[in-house]
Amino acid sequence: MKLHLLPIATLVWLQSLVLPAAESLGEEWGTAEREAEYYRIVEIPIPDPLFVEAGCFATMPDGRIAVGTRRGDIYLVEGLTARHPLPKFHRFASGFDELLGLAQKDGELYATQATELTRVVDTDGDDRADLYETINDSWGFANYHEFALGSKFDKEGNIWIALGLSKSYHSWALFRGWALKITPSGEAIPVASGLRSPLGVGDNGHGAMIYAESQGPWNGACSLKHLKEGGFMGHPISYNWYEYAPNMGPTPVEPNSPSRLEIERKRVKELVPYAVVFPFRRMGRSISGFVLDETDGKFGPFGGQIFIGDHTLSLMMRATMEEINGVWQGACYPFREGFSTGILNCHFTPEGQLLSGGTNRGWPVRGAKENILERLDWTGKMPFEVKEINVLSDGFRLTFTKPVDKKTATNPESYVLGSFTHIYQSGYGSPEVDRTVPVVESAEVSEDGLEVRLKVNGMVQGHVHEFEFGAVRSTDDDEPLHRHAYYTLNEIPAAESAE
Amino acid sequence: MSPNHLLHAACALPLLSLGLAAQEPQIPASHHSFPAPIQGELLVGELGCAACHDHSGDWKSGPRLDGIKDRLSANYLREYIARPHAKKPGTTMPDLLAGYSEEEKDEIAGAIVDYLFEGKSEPLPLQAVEPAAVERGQALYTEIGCVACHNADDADLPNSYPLIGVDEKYSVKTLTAFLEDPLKVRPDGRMPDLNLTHWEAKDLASYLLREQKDPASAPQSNSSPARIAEGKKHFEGLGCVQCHSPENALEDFAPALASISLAADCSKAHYELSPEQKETIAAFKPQTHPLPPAQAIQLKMAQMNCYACHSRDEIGGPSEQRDPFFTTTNLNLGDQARIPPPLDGVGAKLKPKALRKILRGDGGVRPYMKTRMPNFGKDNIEDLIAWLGEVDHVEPMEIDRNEDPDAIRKTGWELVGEKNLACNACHTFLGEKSTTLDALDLSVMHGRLKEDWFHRYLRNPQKFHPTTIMPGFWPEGRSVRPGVLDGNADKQIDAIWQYLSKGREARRPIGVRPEPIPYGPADDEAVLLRRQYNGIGKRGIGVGYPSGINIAFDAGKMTLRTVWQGDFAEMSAVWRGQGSGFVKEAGDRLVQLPAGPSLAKLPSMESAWPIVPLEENAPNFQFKGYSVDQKQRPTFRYLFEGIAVEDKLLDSADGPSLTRTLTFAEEIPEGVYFRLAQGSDLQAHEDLPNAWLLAEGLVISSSVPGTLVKAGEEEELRLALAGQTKLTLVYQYLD
Repeated sequence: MKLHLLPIATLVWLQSLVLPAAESLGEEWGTAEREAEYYRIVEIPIPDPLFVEAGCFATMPDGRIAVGTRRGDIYLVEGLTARHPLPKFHRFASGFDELLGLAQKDGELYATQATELTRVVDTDGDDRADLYETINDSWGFANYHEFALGSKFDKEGNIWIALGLSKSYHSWALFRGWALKITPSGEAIPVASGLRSPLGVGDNGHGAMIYAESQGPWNGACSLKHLKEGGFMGHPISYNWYEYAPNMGPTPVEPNSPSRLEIERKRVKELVPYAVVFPFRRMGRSISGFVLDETDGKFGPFGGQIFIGDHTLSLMMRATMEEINGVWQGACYPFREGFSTGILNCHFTPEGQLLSGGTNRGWPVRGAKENILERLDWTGKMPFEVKEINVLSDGFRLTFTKPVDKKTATNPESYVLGSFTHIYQSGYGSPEVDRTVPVVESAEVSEDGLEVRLKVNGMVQGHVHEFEFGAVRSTDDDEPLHRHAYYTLNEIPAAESAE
Repeated sequence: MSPNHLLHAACALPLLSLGLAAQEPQIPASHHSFPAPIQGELLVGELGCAACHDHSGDWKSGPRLDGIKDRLSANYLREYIARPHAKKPGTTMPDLLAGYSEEEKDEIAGAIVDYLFEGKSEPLPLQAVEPAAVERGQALYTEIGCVACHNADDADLPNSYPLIGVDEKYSVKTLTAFLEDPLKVRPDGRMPDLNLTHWEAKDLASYLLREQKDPASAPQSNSSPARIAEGKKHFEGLGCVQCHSPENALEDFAPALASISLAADCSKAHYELSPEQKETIAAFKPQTHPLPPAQAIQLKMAQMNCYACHSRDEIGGPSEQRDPFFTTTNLNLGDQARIPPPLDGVGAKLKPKALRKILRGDGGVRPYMKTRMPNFGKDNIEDLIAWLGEVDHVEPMEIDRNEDPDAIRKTGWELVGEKNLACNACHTFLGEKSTTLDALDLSVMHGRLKEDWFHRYLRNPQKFHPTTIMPGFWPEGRSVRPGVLDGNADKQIDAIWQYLSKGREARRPIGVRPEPIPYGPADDEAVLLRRQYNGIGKRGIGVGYPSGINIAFDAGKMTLRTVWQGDFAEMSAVWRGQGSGFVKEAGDRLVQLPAGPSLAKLPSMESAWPIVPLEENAPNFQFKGYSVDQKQRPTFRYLFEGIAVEDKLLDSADGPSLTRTLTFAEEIPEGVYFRLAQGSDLQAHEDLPNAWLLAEGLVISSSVPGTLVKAGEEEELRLALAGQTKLTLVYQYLD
């Protein structure tokens, strides 16, 4: 055995040498103090001697929250939602390997762990799991770094599992770098190739499945990507498994490097453009688990939107998506910084509070605490924010959370735009390149003051469009809580004839 | 004393008998020997003179009154406003009703309270306090720094801000809320935020209100519009607004201080000043603000009472009486572990960003120090940070740095480790201690310190801290490690600096050995953990039984791979870092059984056993999961050649033995064998039938007879299973 161990340890060590030198985590947004007026971070005390490195959450029919951890426990937590929580943790199940997905159906849990998707059931009613049934384990697992991320159930009752690469660079074991769909009967259907290092998978709020990808080779920045069935997510190292996935058709053409995604998507027809790109450092460094706001307004004005954490920078962001010409795209927005640990996942409580947790070990994090759960509560006060950006044939529509002041909002100079893209390449990450300055020609405010239509000269297909709108004021003279947002423009819609 | 004061004194008799006497306003830092101008500025500022007279400079304001009707007892407030010095001796709030008759005092104070409490009729709810909470609260009160400014139980600490009447004033709930966020009510930072959790605040409130009887049985307020209007008129006319609502204050409420004679008493506000305080005011010459930075620092530190805990320029630091309240969890680190650091030259030491974090109570780098550095509020600290940077400025040092900071980190790492300077002997790294000492963590230094200071300090720590136990490794500039970087002190210190610049991502120094993380049964239940185990690919399942036997099962090959006795596991290779390592078997008498599947279909008993690579699943098998019994002991389920197998593994209450029962859903067909063991020295047990003695005194007995088969240099113990529906195996250690 010793002989076998040595090479693996050496490989891991060698790999640490070839990784790019660690960089400074970057500046904070500096908005935490103001954000706290609207969204308050509440620490959830964890009783000794429990150790809770949360990787996934689910709500049970009785209202308790199931928390799955890296150490492999599932706790059912009661009393999480109290204003000053002092919850009870009940160890419902244990023994898993890196839990990174929990879905609940009829009181049973479907847990995605490194090795498999497991159905976890309490068959004798003593409130402890006694059946751990392997639903599917048809992927290779040969290195500790090969994480498996599981979704909730989709409309058809499937669970989608995103499989990270081997040591995040290779695909040495079956379907590493692929997404599989596990049907209700337990069958695994390969649905997409080309993943790198996923950290979250789920519905985008419009019925399409997406996942959170990390910056690295073939990924200039982190992004939310549409797991289009049959699609290729950009990293070709996992092409070697197409022969095991006849439903996926022939192996796609190899993308060229260095190139641009906008160019290669024309060559590689399976390549799905990255839907929402998160500019590196400004919008996180390792985006992670995400959740949809289905709280009926309990969490504030962002109903239906995606809330997504960042592991490295310990912050929470928002994202919105729309389908244009059959391609998903959308925007990301800063939301809340100042969490205490590296966020792995988040979840809404039945009271509409955003629960989050994660880990501080192994990878750099800004929030360096371990063994911590935090809850984000809306204080009820309305922040002045750009709620959503949508693309128009000749510009963008910005929807605000509060009516805008006409004077500042109709002034085109209140909006500063920039555009850029990344080099699509096999090397690690990318600088922001091909910068342009689209110009706002006019800004038209809707009657209710909530929408502003920007007519923009110089939109660039395939580019991230960054917005700075700090000069806009609300009618009650509030300045935007956050001044930036980033829209990934994969497609420009045709002009509507009615317009 | 005026006639009013005589009456007042008579009323106050019961209080006097409790040891409370009218006392001059307490400004704790004023007993330090500041130069006269600072002393004057401090007194005038903390009495809030500028609130009425100039409305400029930095002065102590009153608590904000928003929400007061839900926060405080009206009864208390009526009494306090009518006779502040009797109700709360030592308060800096002036008596604005000193010139009125006793009846008028009560009348006016009552009207003001009715105005402030408009519409509030229910009294503050009385809450029972839990004795345990009182006890915890007392510990907090005496340990975390409350006593730095306030008096302690059973002590008579001079220069304290009075905490009198708290239990008449608040309810547990409202005092808890105040303590959770004191800056909301008192934004001037004189009462800083100690970063209490809600539960700590509640404990502290429970302690402070432990003898509370009934804060307010009478209604808060019940009044007519006319009465409220009258209260408002007094509130504004008397100048309450000037301190309590500064944003609505009148800038010309009273003439500027510079234009009036300060020898006379204030005409409106009676402060109960001591003769010394009167002298100080009489001699006071209003300064031009801002003051020169050195003086401004002194004034600010006095106003915020930083001097209660910290010294700077030979002023301040804990007084002799307060010293015992500064405690530590690690006495080995000396006084530095319990007394907050002196602030001499702190502006040259700390980066502004770090100072900002610290002054916001978010420093937290000395886990051993029980006193907490509080948050003084973002609006109260920026000037101080700038002044400290300016005043403490030192000429930049000429540093002979290394050429390639990236390449030199390895040398820095080597210097820090135990074979060289062994910094880790005293300093923790990511919280890990190498010895009993837990001095400042190596990962936080670069983020806090200025490079210049780091170089100067390392060359001569005693110069900065006469009592520090930190050794100097470069006496008179000569390195104790002359072989590294030619003994060049600058380059060595620079190498360490570059190493530290990685912060939390820096490589762990040699000698830092993480604490083991033991894991195993805590009671009469087994623990099970899926993970990578030695000799098993990644689909390992370890089980630790309370009877002291442990196994690791390979769910990729459906084989029982490892058996050991004693403790189950040590997890630090798995539960630290990225978790790249294997679960370490913690006990002893470890025996590895053959790798590869236990079941195989073979042409004959002697055929070669199939080999499956370590990290691959064996073909012809499918793992189906497991169930656990009430004691969490597993029954694994899998398919072999389409036959469902239940593999139950139960320990025995009598000692370290394991009974394993494999149940097959149908009769096993011809040609199927089970491989039980492998070795060069397998011996049949002398007394037991179908039993074999393995290494480490492990005996395996079988319900089915076995055959030793030659396999290369070794032998394998195989069982022919044809026709069986069940196989029982017992694994037992001989004593």
